[in-house]
Amino acid sequence: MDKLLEVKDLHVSFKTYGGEVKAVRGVNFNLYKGETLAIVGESGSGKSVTVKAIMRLIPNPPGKIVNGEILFDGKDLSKISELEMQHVRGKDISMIFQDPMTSLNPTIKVGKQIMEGLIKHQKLSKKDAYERALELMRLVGIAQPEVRLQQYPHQFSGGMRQRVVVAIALACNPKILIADEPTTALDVTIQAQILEMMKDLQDKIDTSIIFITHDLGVVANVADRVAVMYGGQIVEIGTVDEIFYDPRHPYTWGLLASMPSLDTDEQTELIAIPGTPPDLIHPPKGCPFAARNQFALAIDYEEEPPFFQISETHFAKTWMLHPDAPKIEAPESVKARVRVMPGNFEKPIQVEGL
Amino acid sequence: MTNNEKLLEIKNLKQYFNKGKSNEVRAVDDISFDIYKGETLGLVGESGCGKSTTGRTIIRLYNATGGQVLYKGEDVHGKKSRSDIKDMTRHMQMIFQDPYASLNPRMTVGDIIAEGIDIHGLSKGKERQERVFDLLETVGLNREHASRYPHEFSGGQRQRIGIARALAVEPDFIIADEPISALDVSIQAQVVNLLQKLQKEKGLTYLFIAHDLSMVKYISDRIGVMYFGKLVELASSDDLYKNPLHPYTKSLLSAIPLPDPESERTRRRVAYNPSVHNYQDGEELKMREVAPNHFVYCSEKEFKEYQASYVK
Amino acid sequence: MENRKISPEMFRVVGATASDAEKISRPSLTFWHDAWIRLKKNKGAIVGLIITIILILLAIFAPMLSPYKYSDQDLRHANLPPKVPGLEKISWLPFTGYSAEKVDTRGIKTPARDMYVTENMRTGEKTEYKKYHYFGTDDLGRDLWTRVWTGARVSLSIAVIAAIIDFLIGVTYGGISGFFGGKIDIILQRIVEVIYGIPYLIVVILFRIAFEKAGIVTLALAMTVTGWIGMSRLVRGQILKLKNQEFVMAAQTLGASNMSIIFKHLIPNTLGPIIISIMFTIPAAIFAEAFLSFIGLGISPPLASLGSLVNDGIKSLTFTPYKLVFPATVISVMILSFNLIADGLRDALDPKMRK
Repeated sequence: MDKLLEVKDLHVSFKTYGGEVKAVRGVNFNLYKGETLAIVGESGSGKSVTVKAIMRLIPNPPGKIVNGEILFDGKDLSKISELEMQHVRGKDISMIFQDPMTSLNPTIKVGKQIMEGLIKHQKLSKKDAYERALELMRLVGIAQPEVRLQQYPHQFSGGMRQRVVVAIALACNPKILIADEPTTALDVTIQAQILEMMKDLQDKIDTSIIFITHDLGVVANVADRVAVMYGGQIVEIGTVDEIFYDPRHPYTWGLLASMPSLDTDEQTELIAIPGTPPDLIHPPKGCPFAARNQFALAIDYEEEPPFFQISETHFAKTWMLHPDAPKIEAPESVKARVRVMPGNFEKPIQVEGL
Repeated sequence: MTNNEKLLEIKNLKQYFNKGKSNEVRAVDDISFDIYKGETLGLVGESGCGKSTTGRTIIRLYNATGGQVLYKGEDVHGKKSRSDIKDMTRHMQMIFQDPYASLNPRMTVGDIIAEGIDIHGLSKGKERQERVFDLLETVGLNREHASRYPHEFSGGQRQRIGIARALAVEPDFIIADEPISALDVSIQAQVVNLLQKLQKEKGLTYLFIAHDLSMVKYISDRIGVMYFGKLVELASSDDLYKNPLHPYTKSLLSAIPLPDPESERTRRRVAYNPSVHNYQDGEELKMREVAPNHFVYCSEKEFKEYQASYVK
Repeated sequence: MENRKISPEMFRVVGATASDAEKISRPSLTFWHDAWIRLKKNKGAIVGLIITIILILLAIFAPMLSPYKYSDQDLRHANLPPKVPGLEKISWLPFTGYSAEKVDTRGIKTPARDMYVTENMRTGEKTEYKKYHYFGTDDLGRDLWTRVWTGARVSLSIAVIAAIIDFLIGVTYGGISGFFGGKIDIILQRIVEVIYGIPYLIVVILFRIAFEKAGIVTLALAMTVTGWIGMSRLVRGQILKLKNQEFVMAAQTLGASNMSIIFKHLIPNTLGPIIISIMFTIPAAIFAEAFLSFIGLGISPPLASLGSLVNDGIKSLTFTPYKLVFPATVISVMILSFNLIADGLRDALDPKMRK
């Protein structure tokens, strides 16, 4: 598989009244051609900041990319000038946001908003841009594109607006599409339509997608690979099957056990993760999840765990995979979903970084 | 469902906004259902379907356009003296959606929780203080938190404070209006577990309004599905999932993504198109009991079809 | 990590330490405390605050401690330039008591001379006037230091009274209009629109005619006839926004009365914008008063306000510029410092700034 994007040891901080918030603390991942990588995590886990850093959309001040590299197309996106970045944004990498209501300009016709990027980046003539806009509207599943292009955003429903936003993002055939909680503001039935459309699109145009969400159901639906973030770090990353059927990090367990499946009956209590996410002004030493982890080891409070590799594609950042660690059973509801993964190594191997 | 004592009867409830004007909105359009003592009734539907308005109208935040809400046989709406209304508020309470907007930022947590105690003059001075501490501990917070301000708490903790405020007047019916939808996944379970613990300990009855169906299925005994101001299906939660009859319910169920990649790969989404009903003029549409305790909003013709397709 | 020995006993399960009822380690901060911390960080606001306090103290105490009264006339010592003890020896400062060197249109020079020394034309005997006038005297020989600070006192009083009346009427009116809404709101807002349509100068002139002699209270009243409208609109908007907030609904479901909802929930949450608005009203009222006095609609002599002093001073700008400079400076500094505070308060109280 071709690496399209490589994020290495990314650190992002925000200066606030209370102190420096270390929102992202050493994130590493690769994005391959044609795949969908989902990043899951709670609010404040750093998932949104990570992708905003890739797009260089971190407001500075107060935010700053403190360290790390974002390699794309032979360039380090964290170092290039703002002008160069403007060529990357929208053309090579584009982004869609949570709220389709605010990501469109209410005073400009939808057609013009789609054509804008085409004329600017692709240097298309007005006529060609119009043709392409029609094509894009059909691509995202909007009926009667000729009529719809002449309408204003308020004439579209929420789901339709999000389709328009996707059409704008795809206008210049980006290599990467970053979707930051694109369905959170939508109703379930609309969400299902949008997710279906996005999967459909990927079959057609082969764009890599980074999909940010907090909803594990959505992850299971869209992702090829999943990165679980907690406290500004990736704690587990693997293929979607590995994360859902063979989770290794206690936080992933916690997430899976805390939501009911449709056959959880009312008598079985949900396993809540106690406490609240760590304060990233003073990140805890050791494992950021230790204080909320019922299986925490003494070492979790002392040393930051390294990554352990479970298969070619599966990594988890927890001391529980260390050869000296005691055998710990996952909660019942997690155990119920575990399957044997054929690609697993005999034993997890400790690795340096990812 | 523990027993069949009706705690609340909602009869032909209507809530129209801008009534009689061109922009009239029928947020709640003639719905009827009962809530039994000790049960949790889930109310689901998409945004704008009127589920929150139903909850707010029941508790009299809005004056109903029509219909009745009977609490233990007594009408909640209608002409009432201030003291009658005040009395009613002690029986019915509400938990709100947004943990950031539901607490007054200028009041201490202690005063927020004690608001109901003060209004109803339930206790004073030291006794009031003790009651606040008790309530804080009931919802899993510390007594030290009483002197703090809401902005110092996380979303989950604020939601607990909101629960403690509702519990202060010792209600027996609580309307939970999307109490977990603004919370993170890992925190949602904390709040849901707390609600269930309280239900067991205090015998509370809940109306649980939400759009997250898997959580509603887990917490509710019965579920009502709303669509554009109408209640379209009402059944016990297992029955509803096993035997969704109304096409809208089917579509809603088929749309929930589950945290299971395999079932997601094979998922078939069913779209709902209201024209499938193809209702003729003169057909009477109402809630009909297709199977025991399984009600569907349908015509006589559909009723027969649904009965035929119902799987025991 | 290699050089650190990881011993096997570190791999024992100790479990979670967090509970749902986590202690909050940060010190408890009320909203106002929080705002004060932010205000303190704003240098402009602090400078404004210090200057305002100094000006207020001077306005209160300077006329009291001065040996002259603002109305004391002494025609023998009219038009004296400023003279300050201690500073009188420093020749380049304008506090020496010397008049400026003048050249008239015909090119004849009048050399600078000590105005506090009078020479008897016949005997050539010089008598020195031993007293000091810090800001000099006006054409009737009244001490300007006393008059400027009396004027500042008058201007401040008018501004503060105007702001208080604005606040009282505006908050009540806007609060009622916003909270009850519906027909009441529609009626009250139409009334506001009518009042807003009356030109402000006409109201002031009518007041002036009706009350003949304009004092502090009449001027303040004249200014508030239309002044409260801004405040009432602000409060109405805030209340409309707040009354649908969930915490207000929560109070309603608990059975709270309208009064307790207004005073416990709504007003405390609008206090921030109200205070900011008052702080902007005060400098605006100072300026308005100065303007009215300047065009002769203001305070009646012998009482002075900063505006009327500027008006007096401008008549003899070329000969005795100090008569204009001092009151004008005081007005400018006063308005500037109030605006600095108001600006700082806006930043400190604005909820959008909160983390």
